[in-house]
Amino acid sequence: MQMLKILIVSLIGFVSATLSAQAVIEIDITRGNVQPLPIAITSLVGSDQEMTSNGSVMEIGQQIAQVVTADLERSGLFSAIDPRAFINSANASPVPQFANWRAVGAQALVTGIAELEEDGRVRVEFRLWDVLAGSQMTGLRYYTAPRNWRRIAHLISDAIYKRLTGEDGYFDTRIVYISESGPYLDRIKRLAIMDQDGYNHKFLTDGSYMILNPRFSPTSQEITYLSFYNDTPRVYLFNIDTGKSEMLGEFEGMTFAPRFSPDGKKVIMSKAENGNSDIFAMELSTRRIQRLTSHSAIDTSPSYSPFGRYITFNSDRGGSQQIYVMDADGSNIKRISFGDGLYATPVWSPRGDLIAFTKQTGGKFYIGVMRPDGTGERILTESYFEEGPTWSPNGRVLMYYRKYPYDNNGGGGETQLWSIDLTGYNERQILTPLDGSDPAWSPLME
Amino acid sequence: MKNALIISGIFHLSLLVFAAMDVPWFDTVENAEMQVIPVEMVDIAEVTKTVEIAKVPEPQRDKPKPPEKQPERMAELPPPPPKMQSTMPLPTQTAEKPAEKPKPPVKRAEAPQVQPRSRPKPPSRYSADRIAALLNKVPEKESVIESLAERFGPQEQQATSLDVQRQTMSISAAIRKKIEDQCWNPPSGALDAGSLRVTVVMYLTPDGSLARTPVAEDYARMAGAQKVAADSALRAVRMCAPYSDLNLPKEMYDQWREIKMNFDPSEMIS
Repeated sequence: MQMLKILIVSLIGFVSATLSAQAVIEIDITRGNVQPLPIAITSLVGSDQEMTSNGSVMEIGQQIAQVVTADLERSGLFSAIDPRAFINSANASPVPQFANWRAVGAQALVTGIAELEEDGRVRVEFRLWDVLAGSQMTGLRYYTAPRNWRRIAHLISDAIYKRLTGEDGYFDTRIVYISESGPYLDRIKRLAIMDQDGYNHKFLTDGSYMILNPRFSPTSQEITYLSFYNDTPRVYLFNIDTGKSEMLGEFEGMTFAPRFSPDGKKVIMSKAENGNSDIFAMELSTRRIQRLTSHSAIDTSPSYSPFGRYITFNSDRGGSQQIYVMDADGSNIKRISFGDGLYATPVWSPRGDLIAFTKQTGGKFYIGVMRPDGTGERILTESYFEEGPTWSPNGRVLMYYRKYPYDNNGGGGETQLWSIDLTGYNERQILTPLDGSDPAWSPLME
Repeated sequence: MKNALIISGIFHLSLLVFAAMDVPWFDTVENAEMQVIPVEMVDIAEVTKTVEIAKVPEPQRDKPKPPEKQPERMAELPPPPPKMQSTMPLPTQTAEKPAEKPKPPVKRAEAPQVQPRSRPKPPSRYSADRIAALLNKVPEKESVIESLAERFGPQEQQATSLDVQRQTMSISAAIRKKIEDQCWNPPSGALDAGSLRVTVVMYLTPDGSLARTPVAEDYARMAGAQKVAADSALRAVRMCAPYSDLNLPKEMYDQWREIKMNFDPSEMIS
């Protein structure tokens, strides 16, 4: 009887325990609204009495905030709140009054200071705050010569982007491209370089000979390109810091479409002999060259996967121009594109998940992406003519060039640089002093 | 012999009747139980809808009352004007009074939100606040019963386990809808963003505001994109607070004082 009592009591206890355990409500949240994150970026606080070669420290602080705002907005992932709506003006108090920032709809807040050091450098500090939680998410300090304030701004943008998206940024990067000018039949094509936002523009060649296919090294400030110096097309290597260029060997026939390997130690390219082109890789230290394909069809536009194990290229060996993937030694060739039309210029994303390409069908050109196994093809943009996608170093944005048709009055024919992110919505033009084509994105600067 | 036959016949007949009625009945019970699970799942959406609809009428029912009273007071007011035949300034004074009178009910409606905080302070002596709080308990209980009646009808005011289950579903559906529609902005940029699942526990006070900081499981060990996903979930929980607009049933506070939420963007981002 006693046993039965104990049994009943323990049973009741067990049942009530399970009931109370169920009491915590569990909810699955599976939908949301993907929207730009509202962020408030305040001017870095600095003195207008401290003068540098680039204006007062206060002005530098204001300009840094403007560049950071422009960077983050251009990414399409953030919406910067108009500073005129701010309840608090910028001030040096270490902890912001979060209620005031919440009131203007900010979810993230950037504050900071700029001060002149005794050695003439500027010290820049910024903090990124989670407005809703009322806590600091990240904070960094930089020292730099006043003229480098723009790079510091891009570095701050990268740090904010990384903390809020989980991906590396791409703002402290540069673009090389071909600057074009002159009439259609006598085009002057020069190599030019600029920051990813179009500032600090410089011409690297004088236009006396044609330059094509510039490509950045993924590990250093070096570029390969195809030069028609002395009317002979050759692949060259150009060091941006030293300004020196060298030819990558003398080959029979024509070499083109060069591209670095991910470790920067090899250059892969096409070489045409007797009307047929195949793919070759060259070791930069030894200048040893290795043939990777040998087929009667035209194989060109090779690009390595991020770890250098595979190569994607295009070929018309199947009857029409399509994208193929092979092992880095040239074995195991597989076709991956099977859609309508012609596929060209495959480029492997730096994060490995996608291959970008140019597609031509129905009298139009398209930039799209597909997975390395050929599935999930997605068109991001289309126009009369566009080509040559290049990836941002974080693999989220593509830059390419677009050409407009000539009209009957001799106008039109502009060539412009454009960028689009992987969502396919955030498409923007990158302004260049003259026409621009064939862009190549640098890695993050060291 | 005849008797034996009759008895045997009755037994056989009753056996047949039992077999015909009871045996299949057991079967259907089993089937019904098997079907309960999917049917309950369907119910969530229905309950969600009723909550949505119920949410709107509730304030409307509260509000229509003051208007009803106002006309009464307006009806009462006409008598004063005769009194103030003598002076002109008086009409404006009397005109102000009706404007002032409707305000108190509004204040009383707000007071209950403060009241729970004053409850856990028994040591303090009676104060104006406390008396107000005591007074305010009455309308509060009424509103709870009203909301219960609206949702489940008058017969079901006694909470059965099924009621609790149903109401729990409507609570979770209401919170889910608010967070999904208004507050969650999942990070889409990261590689494999669709696979970044996060579990957040939120603690609520009886008035529906956050009792303390919401917690993401394993947050301290997170880095990179996973941490960013957790941040977005925590932001959503904070953005949506307070949850007082959902009119969560106070008598069931024990059920919703702690809520576990699984944020899973895989259906949105592939």
